[in-house]
Amino acid sequence: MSLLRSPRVLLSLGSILLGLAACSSETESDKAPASGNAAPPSMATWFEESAAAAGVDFKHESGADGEHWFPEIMGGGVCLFDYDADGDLDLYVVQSGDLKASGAATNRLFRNDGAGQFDDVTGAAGVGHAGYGMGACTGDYDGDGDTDLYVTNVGPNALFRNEGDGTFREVAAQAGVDHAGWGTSCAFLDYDLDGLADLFLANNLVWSPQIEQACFNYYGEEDYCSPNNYNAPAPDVLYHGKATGVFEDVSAASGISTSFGNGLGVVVGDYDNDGDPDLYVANDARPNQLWRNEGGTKFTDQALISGTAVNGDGAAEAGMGVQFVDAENDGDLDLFMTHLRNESNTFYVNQGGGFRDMTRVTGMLGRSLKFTGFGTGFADFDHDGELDLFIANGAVQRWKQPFDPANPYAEANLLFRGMGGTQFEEIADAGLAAPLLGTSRGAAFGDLDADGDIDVVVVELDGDLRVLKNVAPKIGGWVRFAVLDGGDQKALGARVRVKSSGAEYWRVAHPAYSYLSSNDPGVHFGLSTSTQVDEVLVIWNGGTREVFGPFPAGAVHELRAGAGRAE
Amino acid sequence: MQRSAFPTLFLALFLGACSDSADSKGSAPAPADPAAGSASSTDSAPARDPLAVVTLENTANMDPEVVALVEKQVELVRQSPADPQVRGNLGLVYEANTMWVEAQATYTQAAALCDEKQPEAGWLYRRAIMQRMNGDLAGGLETMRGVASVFTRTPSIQARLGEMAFESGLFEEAASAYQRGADVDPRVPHGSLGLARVRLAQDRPQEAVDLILPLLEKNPNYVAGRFTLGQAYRALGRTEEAAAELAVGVDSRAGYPLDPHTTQLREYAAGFGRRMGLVENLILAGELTEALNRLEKLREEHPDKYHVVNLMARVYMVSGGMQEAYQLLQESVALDPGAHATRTELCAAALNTGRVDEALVQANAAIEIAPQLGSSYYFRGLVHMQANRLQEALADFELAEKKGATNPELFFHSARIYASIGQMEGALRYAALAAQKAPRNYTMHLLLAQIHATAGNLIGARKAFGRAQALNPTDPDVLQLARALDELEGR
Repeated sequence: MSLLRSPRVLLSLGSILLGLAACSSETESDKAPASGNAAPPSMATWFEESAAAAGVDFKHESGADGEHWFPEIMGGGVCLFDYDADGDLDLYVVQSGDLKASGAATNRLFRNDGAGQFDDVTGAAGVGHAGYGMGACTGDYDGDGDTDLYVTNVGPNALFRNEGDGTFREVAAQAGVDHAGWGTSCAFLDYDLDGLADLFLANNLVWSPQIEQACFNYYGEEDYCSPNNYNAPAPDVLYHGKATGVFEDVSAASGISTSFGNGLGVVVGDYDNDGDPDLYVANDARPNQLWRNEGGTKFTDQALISGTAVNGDGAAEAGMGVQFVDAENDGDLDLFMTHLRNESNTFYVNQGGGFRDMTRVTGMLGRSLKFTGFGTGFADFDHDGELDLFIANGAVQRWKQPFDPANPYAEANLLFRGMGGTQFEEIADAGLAAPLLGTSRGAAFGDLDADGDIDVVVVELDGDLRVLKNVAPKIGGWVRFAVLDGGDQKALGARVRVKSSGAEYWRVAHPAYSYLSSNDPGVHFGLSTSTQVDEVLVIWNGGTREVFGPFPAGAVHELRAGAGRAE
Repeated sequence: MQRSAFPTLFLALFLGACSDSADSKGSAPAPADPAAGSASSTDSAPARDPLAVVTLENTANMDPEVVALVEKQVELVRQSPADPQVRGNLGLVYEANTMWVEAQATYTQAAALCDEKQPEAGWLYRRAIMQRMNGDLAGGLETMRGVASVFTRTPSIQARLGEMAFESGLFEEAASAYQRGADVDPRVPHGSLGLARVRLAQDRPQEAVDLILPLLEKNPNYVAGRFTLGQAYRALGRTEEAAAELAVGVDSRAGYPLDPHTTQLREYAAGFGRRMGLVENLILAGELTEALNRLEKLREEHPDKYHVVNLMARVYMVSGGMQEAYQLLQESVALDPGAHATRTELCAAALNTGRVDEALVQANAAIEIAPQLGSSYYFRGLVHMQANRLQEALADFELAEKKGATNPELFFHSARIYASIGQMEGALRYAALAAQKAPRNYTMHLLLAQIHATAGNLIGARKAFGRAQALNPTDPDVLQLARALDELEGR
């Protein structure tokens, strides 16, 4: 079941006939109701909001003034990356601003002191970009060993080249990636396995103030439109990276331009286990694309035949945040996506030849119906060996009985504890001691305070950034790996399998997932009661396999291409 | 949505939802509703009075028409506070206007007002639907189970129960409900479709195929069925057939069987946006007179809204009244000269009335208003095409494509131009794109077949023709191409 976000008002006559136109696995048994949505169980606190304590004072601004221009309701994103190569995750937050005037509000960079305390270094680093920001992604596009930053905007995007001395230089125009549409999520990847980073850019609408129109919410009040009201999806862009540090737009040549929707989320992963990275694009209210990499020069959209274009009932949903994840630890990538209120968040399980929508048996469907999901990420927050799931929620239209009377778009976030495979159980109040409401958008995941567990950063639309420090009672130990694909470059898409005390765990090393956000590029594992990793298998981008280890638990280790042994 | 053959008895029971009999004895309890008396304001009575009428707060930004309708029905409830029918009608007003929390609370009250002689299942049925819409799947399922145990032979109820159970991962319960619906009235496809989807989820794809094929024999355009058939074929490894069926069925919605409240819910739909949406649906359903009547009324009430005039013009265009459409769109331009959609629509109307120069003016105006939109260039391309300026047309179509236009007509016309100038490679590319973008439109497949045939690729032609034929087997053009292909193949 799915409803339009709002009644359509503007109607196009584009399809009216013209005189000259001729075209007038697993089988669920009826055990317990898997998707019940009774009050979730009371659990211990898993997260504490600690932005102020960590020295992070960022307030997102959308510039909304009551005219309901669509981009206002969609930002913004957040990035976790080690810009200064000191071994910890720094924080870059994308500011939206004002669509009608260039404001003073800019994106901001916060430097981590290694213990989870942050200092604002925006000015010194030269990344105080003032475009109408949406999201960002990270990668070493020039192969110099440090991490660069690409920022998407409503308007020209920005590429910040890391100069290696704590500063950045904006080089989007020189690099040929200053696309001037409405960029949303993006991802660096190496699709042709030439060792140079390429770049995928998801775009939403061909938007301008001139196409804005009056739309109404469920109560007949003027509110934000659905993207389908505009009927103007924007093509996505694939850039091929060259050794000169310049990108070439290969959208047409690669086949990427043949299919697109209202792009919001993008992930990279080798879903068909053929050694090269594929792409998946989550579209808002239109069928999604699953771009299968056909040997490094072409992509073909396999979404429909693979079962990931629309949900299991055949309906296109409002795709927002997305992640490739091996939830079953069976060596192939499953797919999770967040959606609109009254649509479920959807879980597509990889079954070898294709995917199946298994949402109904995850135990999460009922609880997600009240919320509009955006940022999302799987991580083993409590180190019990099972992946848990965090979902950042926030409405896109006002609700007459709001969760928060002061903010009709505010919703609660969701946290589910992994129960094994694709089964999940909700943790009350998203693991917080008390409900925390907001209009959540981007969410990023990584260990901010070097205590071995995964923290979460959440962007709140027109609200204060939230840093959710992980304080979950831990079941067992952990291990984290930096995955380096030759030199000091972070591997983009390597798959990592850990064997520990007879158990196997799989992760993907890629920072681009969630919504408008970029995450720790390394991989983190909870190890349950085990105290060491017996063996680590890395399947590098390109399919080469290497074995590493053993490793002790409770530490961060490097997995460097070429330094392992043959499987 | 398929029309249901609703049991007459049930209809009577439902419309007067409280009644003293049902098609199966028993009654569902009326549980306390957390939404009642809390989610919305209730007037006068103590705040916790479970029967205090549910009213709206803070209506300042709401459509006055919706507010007036609610207030009128609230007044009726105040006059007859113990009448479950009046209370239930208020629930219908809320539901029709997507105020689901208020609707749920009001249905709960209506059910509670029913007495022993008057089972409340009719209102509980609606309450269960509202619980689901309000995100309470478990509660909705529980309520619907009670209702379905009373009305065991009602396809709409069994379909709703099946869906809620299916969403809850209770596959066998869902299968039983869908099966009951299919058994009661096999003409209602939802039961068989739902059962097929459950079988797919249970890794029994061949059973799904066996359930869907009879539905499609009766109605080849039942796209929700086509999608499920595609899924079943995929599970069976019949990839090529799967791809074709999935393409036709993608982004389909099965909907629900009509129930006795459907008419009332439509009538109660109020407010500008909602009424415009209803008119749009009427146009799609071919109910043009009714659509025009509603639009005339809307225009009286909203003389400043160009959207109404544009939709009126659409009705005329669909019914062949191109001159009327043209005149209306000129009036619309006067209302809002900056409305991009009006310019493109006026361009189309001008073309359809032979005013090529005027069409060009409007297309250029559209480009000036929104130069970043591909559709602007598409319409100018149409003008050039009409004027037989084929290269200019192609240039604009290419620009439209480059700027993101994806409407299948763009590719269709590009293909036709390329074919007309003998560039079969371009013709083939665009015809294939057109068929890909509009897989349910047989004319797109027909054009692709024609171009394949012209290029001498009879295998490709036969394949594309098969898709056109499956969608519209009796169309004269389809029959004509069938004969032509037979001749070419020497049959």
